[in-house]
Amino acid sequence: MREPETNHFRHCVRRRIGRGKHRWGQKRIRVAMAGNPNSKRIRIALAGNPNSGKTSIFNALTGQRQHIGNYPGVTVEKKSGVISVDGKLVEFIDLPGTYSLSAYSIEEVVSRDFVLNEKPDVIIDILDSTNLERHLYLLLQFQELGVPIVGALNMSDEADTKGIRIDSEQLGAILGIPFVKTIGSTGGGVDQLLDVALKVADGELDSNRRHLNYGKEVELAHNAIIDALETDVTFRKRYSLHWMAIKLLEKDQDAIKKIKKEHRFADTVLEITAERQKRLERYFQEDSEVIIGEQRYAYIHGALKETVSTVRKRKGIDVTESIDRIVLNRYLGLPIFMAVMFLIYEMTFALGNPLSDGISILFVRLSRIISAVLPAGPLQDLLTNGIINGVGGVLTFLPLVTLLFLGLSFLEDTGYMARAAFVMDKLFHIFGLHGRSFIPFMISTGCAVPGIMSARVLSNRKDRIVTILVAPLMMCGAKAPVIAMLVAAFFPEHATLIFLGIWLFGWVMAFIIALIFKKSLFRGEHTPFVMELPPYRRPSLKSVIIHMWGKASEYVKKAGTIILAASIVVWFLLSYPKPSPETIAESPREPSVVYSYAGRIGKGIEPVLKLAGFDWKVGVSLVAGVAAKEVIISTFGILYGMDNNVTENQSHVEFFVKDQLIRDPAYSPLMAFALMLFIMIYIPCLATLAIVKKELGSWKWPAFQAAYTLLVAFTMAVAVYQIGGLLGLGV
Amino acid sequence: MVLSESQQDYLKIVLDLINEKKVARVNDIARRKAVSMPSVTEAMRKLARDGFVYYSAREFVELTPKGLRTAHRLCSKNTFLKNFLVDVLDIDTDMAEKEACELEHHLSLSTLERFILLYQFLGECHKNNRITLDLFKKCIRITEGNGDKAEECQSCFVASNFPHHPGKNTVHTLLSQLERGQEARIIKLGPDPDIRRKIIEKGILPGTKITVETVGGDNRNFELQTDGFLVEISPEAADMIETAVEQKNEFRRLSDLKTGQKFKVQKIYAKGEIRRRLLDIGFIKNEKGKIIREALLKDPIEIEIKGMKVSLRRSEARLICVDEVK
Repeated sequence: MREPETNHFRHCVRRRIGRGKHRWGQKRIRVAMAGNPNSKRIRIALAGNPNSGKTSIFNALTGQRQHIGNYPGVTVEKKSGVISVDGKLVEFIDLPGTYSLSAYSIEEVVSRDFVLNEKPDVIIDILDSTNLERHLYLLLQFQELGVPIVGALNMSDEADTKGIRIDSEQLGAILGIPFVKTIGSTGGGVDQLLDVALKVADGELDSNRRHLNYGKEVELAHNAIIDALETDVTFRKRYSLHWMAIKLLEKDQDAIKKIKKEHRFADTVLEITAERQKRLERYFQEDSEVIIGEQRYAYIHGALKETVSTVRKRKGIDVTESIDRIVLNRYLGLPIFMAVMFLIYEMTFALGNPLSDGISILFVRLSRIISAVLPAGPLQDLLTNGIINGVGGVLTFLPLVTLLFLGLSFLEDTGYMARAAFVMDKLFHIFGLHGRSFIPFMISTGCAVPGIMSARVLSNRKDRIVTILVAPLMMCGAKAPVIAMLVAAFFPEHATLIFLGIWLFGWVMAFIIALIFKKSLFRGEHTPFVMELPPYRRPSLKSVIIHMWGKASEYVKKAGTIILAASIVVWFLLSYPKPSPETIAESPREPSVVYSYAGRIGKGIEPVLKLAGFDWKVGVSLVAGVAAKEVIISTFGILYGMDNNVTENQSHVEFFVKDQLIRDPAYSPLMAFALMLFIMIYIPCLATLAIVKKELGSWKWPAFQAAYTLLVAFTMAVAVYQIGGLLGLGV
Repeated sequence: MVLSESQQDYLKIVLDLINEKKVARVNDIARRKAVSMPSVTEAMRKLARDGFVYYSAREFVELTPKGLRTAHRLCSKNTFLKNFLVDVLDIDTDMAEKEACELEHHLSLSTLERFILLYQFLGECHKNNRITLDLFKKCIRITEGNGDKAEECQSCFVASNFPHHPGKNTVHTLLSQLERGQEARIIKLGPDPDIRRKIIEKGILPGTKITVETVGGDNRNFELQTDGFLVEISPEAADMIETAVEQKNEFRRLSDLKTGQKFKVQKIYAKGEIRRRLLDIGFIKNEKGKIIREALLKDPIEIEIKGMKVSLRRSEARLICVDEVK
């Protein structure tokens, strides 16, 4: 192992080994005391760098039996799957793909907290065999956490073709960790991997009983900090002191926080740490963070020198580089990106919209059948207009969501997604956004619901929140007919120009507001763009389908329930209270929606809306439009006394409303213009708000979104109406 | 705490050894001071008791922050005196070294300051052929704040072009103009007597080599490293201290390289999350890489490092100091 230098050092080593035995020994006792060992679930966490083929190994291990959820308290996706091996239940947890275990990104904190708090029985670290040097860096950090590890040397077929020979046994002997060669794309070696992992979990195979040596100077500092940490007995039991000491030397903020909160002699520990850091930094003339990073890489380098040999130089063409030469070409890059995005957009909407329409027709039929069967009354109303309408609303998005994620997972799996960000980053960075924000923006021009879900391509939370907050400002498929109708009614001469202008207005507002948010609410250091451009890989159909299926079912289960509940609430607001018989007798032509809560709100806010030139009819329609933007037209129809039964024929309604609007003397082109701007910006539809809640994990964000969009929309509309009125434009 | 002469020498030797060999061993100290090992051990115990060094039996000697401060002050004083003896009095180097060691124990701070002024005065005015004792005294009076500023010595203590130790490509600049990570040698302390005294007390004397750790300004202090020791300097003082910077051409920012160029990582100036990311992704010292291409508006750029392709914004690449590789 190592050469103990001084008495002090020898003492430390001896004690540390002792502690290690004690720790794992204790665990075995616990397992034994739990009674029948078969009843205990073995928990295996999967870790690895992004692009290490972790997902394909996870799929190969669990198959379809996957559960997608979130890690508690954060919106980092947690995938898990349970299988049974020889009667024992084995649970696999897919940790987020990261390069390191620092405290800077949520994904990394989630990974390490999972290991620290949940103490999985084994960690399988998936490594790309063609680039072990960089992938082992993460493995070493899991090793520091002191948990049993099995290393999966994935993509070993690729390594073979490149002539990279890995002596996995020797590597295992050096690092004290068993390694298994696997091929994720075909599932090769996965059975053996599972076998070894289970043996380690049972204690049949040793793993990670050894700590890596950071070199004499660092070890001295390290041991001194461990000595200081040991003074608190409860703390000693809770954390791996070895790990904690390294993190302290690395100036890890999370570790410092933990010490301050949980260690009894926090001040002494931090003082000793600071002093040791200074000494190290003086010795190496480097930052301690850098020193430890370098020592890790040096250790890896040494281990690989003895175990990896490249037999023959790689010959032939580098496929990735040849593709990139075209795809990332300075001048071709942007057109290619646009073409790819157009394809994804077309696939989602051209294929998805007919399916969505089909689903909605199906639900209209269903509600007709129910109205025919059930007697008219509140129950029938609830079933047809509330529940069936709501469920239909959820399911009409389903084809869009499914197709979108089919496209996105294809982009992600091939490796193009990172290139897209590379091409678009400069432009988006001007507005404080990440290159990848383009995808949610673009999808939102079709529909904000899948658009917001696609914001997951952004790994940074701040970027994601800002993107999600502004994405619904785009003109979506539901706003388009409303705007088109208004344009046709009031600006028949310049219809195309005005429509295009309004469409652009959505984009411009999204960018401006994003910039404002970035400068105010989300100020601070830009998140690093540093990002891997992974080699192109052929996506496996299986993993694309599993991914798509997962997203679709997640959407229905999580978002669907919220959307459904919200639709029922809106239905209630629009239908209750019913007008009393007397009022019907008084004004029989008045539609019942006027008496509902929504109608009353619309009428109640008329004095305020007057500032923007809107009357109560507009008010009621806008309130109803929160449910879904296309409802604005049908509400107008009802308010103009259209028969409720004809509202199914959309074009007929549009024609009728357009006609009525032109004839209504209360409406001027100026007011219509203000109204269009208002509709573009104001509160996103319920489904969008629901999906924002789902994606960002709190009602705070949709509430904020609704509030700020309403404020901006109203200010904009009032300004346009008042200034336009003063200038005498379009009155 | 007054240290004896020999204790001062010990501290200096320890600092020297640490700077030279990274560690100070008892036997090395003994050899350098030409005394026996037990007496070194004894002296180290004493110094450890007074809080100047960390020492326990059979371990390396390390300086405490207090010890480091003291040792560093002694060393910079010594270096200055040596320069003075060689440059001004033209004494040969060996002799100067020996006598500087003797002198330094006996000079008070204010006398040392006068020596510094003389050194600067001579350096400044000798090319004008106007060195007279009167002029020197007048200059001292001016810098002390009494006496009118004489016409003939306007350039004194303020202007640049110090002639001593001209390096090959040295450029003279004010300390406040230096960038983070730049190395420089102190040439001249400013005209303000109060600030000058403070600087001298901190061990920053003409001839001291420094590296800028933190660039200050707007009430933030500058942090300088000299011999592995951090010194804080107020922004006002930094505006007065003149330094000579060796121009190094080989160190460049990654963002300045062109497509296709190869490089070797030297240092990362980034802080916080970006620094961590860069480290984790493999930007460690002496790692080789290559710039593969740039995007449409020359930003971001694609880089190959540790067998992986990485994209970076130009603003991030600017924070990486590299060595160009042919």
